[in-house]
Amino acid sequence: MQRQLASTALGAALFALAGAVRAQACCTATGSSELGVVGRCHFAVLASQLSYDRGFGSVDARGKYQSLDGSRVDDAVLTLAGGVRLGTPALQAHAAVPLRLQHRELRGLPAATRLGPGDASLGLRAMVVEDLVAGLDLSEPRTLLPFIELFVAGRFPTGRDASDSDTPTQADVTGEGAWSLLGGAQITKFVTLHQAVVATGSYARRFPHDVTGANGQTRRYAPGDEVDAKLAYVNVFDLFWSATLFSTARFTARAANDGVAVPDSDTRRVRFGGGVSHYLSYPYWQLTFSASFDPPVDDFAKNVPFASVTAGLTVQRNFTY
Amino acid sequence: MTKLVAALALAVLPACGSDPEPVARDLAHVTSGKGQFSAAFTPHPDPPTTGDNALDITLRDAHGSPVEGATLQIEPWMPGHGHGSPVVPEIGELGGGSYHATQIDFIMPGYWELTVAVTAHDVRDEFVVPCDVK
Repeated sequence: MQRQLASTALGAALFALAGAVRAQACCTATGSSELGVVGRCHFAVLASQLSYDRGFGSVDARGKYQSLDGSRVDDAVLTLAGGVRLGTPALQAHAAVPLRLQHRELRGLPAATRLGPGDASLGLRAMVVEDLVAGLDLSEPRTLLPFIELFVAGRFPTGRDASDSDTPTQADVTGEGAWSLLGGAQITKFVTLHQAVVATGSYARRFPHDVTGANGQTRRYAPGDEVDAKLAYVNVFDLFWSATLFSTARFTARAANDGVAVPDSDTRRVRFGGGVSHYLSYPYWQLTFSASFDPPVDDFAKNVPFASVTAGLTVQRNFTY
Repeated sequence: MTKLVAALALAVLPACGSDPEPVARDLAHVTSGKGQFSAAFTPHPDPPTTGDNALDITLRDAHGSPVEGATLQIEPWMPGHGHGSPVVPEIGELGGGSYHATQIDFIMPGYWELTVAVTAHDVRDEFVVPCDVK
């Protein structure tokens, strides 16, 4: 009888643990890799990310990579972000506000370090299809369905535009100066209970704005629209640990000045990275370290002024129902 | 299947291997937009780099005679990014149609243009000088 009881208790504990791991896996793959996005099993999230970006090279319009000689470009960014579900578990809103500390040393110019707000963003996200998080089972068609999320977001020119810069190195330029609106989709498929593949794609319309040069001449500048793609592989080791490998790609169309397209101004940027996430106290406090870089090779990117390596640490507090 | 692979290869090739249109780089013989002046431009350093740069300009009129006493204004501009430099370059006249510009500050590598506006004897015209900043 005692043995039967113990066996039942162990079974119940294992079942509960499997459910928790499934929930953790689900939340890790659907939320924590993106700042301020609420994981599937959470109600809300507050996050703080500190990242450091070090420029080490540049890529010109012909795709030729060259190291940065005699220049130093360092950015430290503190981003405060949060998200909350809106009435229904399928819909959430999220926002992010960056604070940027930028250091620039360029040949022959006085070094400068400036602090200022970056461009803030606000988004809506809806889950339209849900994965069972049971792994793939070809005999059960329902297990083939992934999570599918649709999202829209706006980015606002709360940072300092280059037109307003007053330092020779433009260390004080913390924003693009343009409004932008993006829409996209994310597909997350658990191929096993512990492993997921995440594909994200988005299109951003960047709106024209007036820019004024140092001599007072004003132009109508239209930045090129952007297409972003991200492919990630997530491995959830256990209740507390998970790891991610990812690659991002950004393609920007040609810019235009006063309605005239700028030849050869389109850009291409591909980065690789990875991260490790750890629940300090499940499911509330979560710590994530991530790093990414631009490959320092020719013919990979195009028109990237500062190829860089980036490392970031995120602390987030999840709120459950 | 072979056709599909070939089509995919063709779709990928332009993004991976094509060279952009060549841009005139002969800065020794540049004609202004309306043809009122010609000039030779010599950047220092050559090629230009991020940071502080200078530019020597030898200015001639449409008949090839040196232009003295001209007023020059230079604006660095990065057309693909829609920004310039917060510092206005300074220009000094050396005589014999030669001018020397300093404080030409490029804040990042990439393609820049220097718009050089020239006013001499009530004639105004502009040069656009391409710069591949390293």
